[in-house]
Amino acid sequence: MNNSIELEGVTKRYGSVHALDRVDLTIGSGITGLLGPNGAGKTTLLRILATVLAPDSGATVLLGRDPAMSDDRTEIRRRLGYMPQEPGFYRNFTVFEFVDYVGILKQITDRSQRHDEVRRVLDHVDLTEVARRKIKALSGGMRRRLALAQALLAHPDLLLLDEPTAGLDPEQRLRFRAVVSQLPNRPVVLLSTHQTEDVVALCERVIVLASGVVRFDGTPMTMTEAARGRVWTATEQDIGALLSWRMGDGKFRHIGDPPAGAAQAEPTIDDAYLLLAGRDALTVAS
Amino acid sequence: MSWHVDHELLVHYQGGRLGDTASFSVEAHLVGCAPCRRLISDAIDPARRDQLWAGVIDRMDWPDPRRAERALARVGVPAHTARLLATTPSIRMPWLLSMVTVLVAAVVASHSFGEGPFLFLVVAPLVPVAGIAVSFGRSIDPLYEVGLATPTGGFRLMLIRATSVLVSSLAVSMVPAVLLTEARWMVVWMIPALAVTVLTLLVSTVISVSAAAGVVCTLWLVGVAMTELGASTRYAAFGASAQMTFGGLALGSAALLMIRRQSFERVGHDWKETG
Repeated sequence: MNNSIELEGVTKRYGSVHALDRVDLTIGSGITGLLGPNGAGKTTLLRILATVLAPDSGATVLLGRDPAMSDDRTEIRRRLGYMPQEPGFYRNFTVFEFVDYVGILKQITDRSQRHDEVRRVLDHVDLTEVARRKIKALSGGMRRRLALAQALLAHPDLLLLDEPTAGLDPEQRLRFRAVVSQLPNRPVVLLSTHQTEDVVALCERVIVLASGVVRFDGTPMTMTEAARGRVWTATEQDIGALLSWRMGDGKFRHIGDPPAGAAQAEPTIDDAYLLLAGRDALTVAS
Repeated sequence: MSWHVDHELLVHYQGGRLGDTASFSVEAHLVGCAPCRRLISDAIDPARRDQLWAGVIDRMDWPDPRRAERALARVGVPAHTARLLATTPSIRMPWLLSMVTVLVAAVVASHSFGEGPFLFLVVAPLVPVAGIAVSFGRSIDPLYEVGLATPTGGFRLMLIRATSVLVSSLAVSMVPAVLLTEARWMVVWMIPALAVTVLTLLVSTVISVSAAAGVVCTLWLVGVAMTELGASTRYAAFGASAQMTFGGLALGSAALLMIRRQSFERVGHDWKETG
């Protein structure tokens, strides 16, 4: 069974804006992080992979099938788990009813089998205790976990998570990482995020997207190394730097060309991200 | 505590021969008596106990189906399909009651102005159109995007909900229809209702479903008014030739809808890009 996604020259435009511009990617099993600032095209890319949005041009093959073909698309959707950036809920449903409803949409028609599967995913995200609580009574963090639970139904071969850690506190984020890192059968997991910590903690591969273009594709370690020689510390702020800020020890950290009297610093993945995403990332940072 | 479960009681209870009253008494006792709970638990076959327990848990997790689901189950609709049908916003009780109110008001107003059933006939076909407008799309369905990414999402889910809307609209429209004086007025709006509903679905492949409903409602009202003004007899918009026209419109729209069904498989016209 083909467990990979392949994109060739995928382009999507909204009016005159290129959300994606001739994107070529091949992604196999394991967790891949998709980093990029707001408006980089991450959500557009995930929606195309979730088969809910068609590209304007280019070829897409998901799990060995063509999402433009009706039968293939249905088969892809059977093997797909999707957590959108802003998942909606039927607020008067209980937690159990909600996941059960998504199970019905995923065509798990045998009630007993479906209910077992609902309990499995709720247990996986640690929501068993609130299974009979109405969704409107859940905290924001619990709702994110509920959105993740529905995506995990039926052991998807392709799992797409759009900003899954947005709004989570540190403990919830750690819990999320534990859940995603322990998924059985090594599905293709694509994780869109702003959080470089998530990428370092979870992903064996990272793709940086900015202005609809792939700026980097490699391991988190090689991404960090890409910033070597571009990160500096100095006693004075350099207004010519791509980014410059005062650290806790009173010194300034500079990204970009070295200011006068600066010492080279050990790069982090954040430095590399800022360099790769460039001005787009700074727009968000500001 | 004045008594405990003895061997004889246990055997009868375990065998289901105790009768309801005595069984309830034993069970009430078990709630507060750990030794008797252990006694009963040890005496029951573990596989059966696990099965019973799983049933209890399932019952708690998945409570009684809603009224609409029970009604659908009674006519043979499978439970999972009933759940999909029952989540259609326009079959919820507040919506149905408001539609009945509108239709009753139309009947009463018609009679008050000496217009016979005219206002009812004009309004009834718009009930399913309004139902369609509140049943689909990003702005209406909070689960729109998640649903679309499932094998049931898109065209299949649209058909399920459209069926739900049509059947429920038919049912609510029959309530005020019994107030009409002649039996034929109870049915002449049905083919026009089907036609404008399918036409709304077809137009929604090009513009948002709410806009499509608005366009079709306007076309319907203008069409009826022009037909009535241009005809020599009353109710020409609901006469035999008009019924043929609406039947043809329904069939033609349904055919085009099948051709355009792929448009339901992707995010709609009311989509807003967020990232």
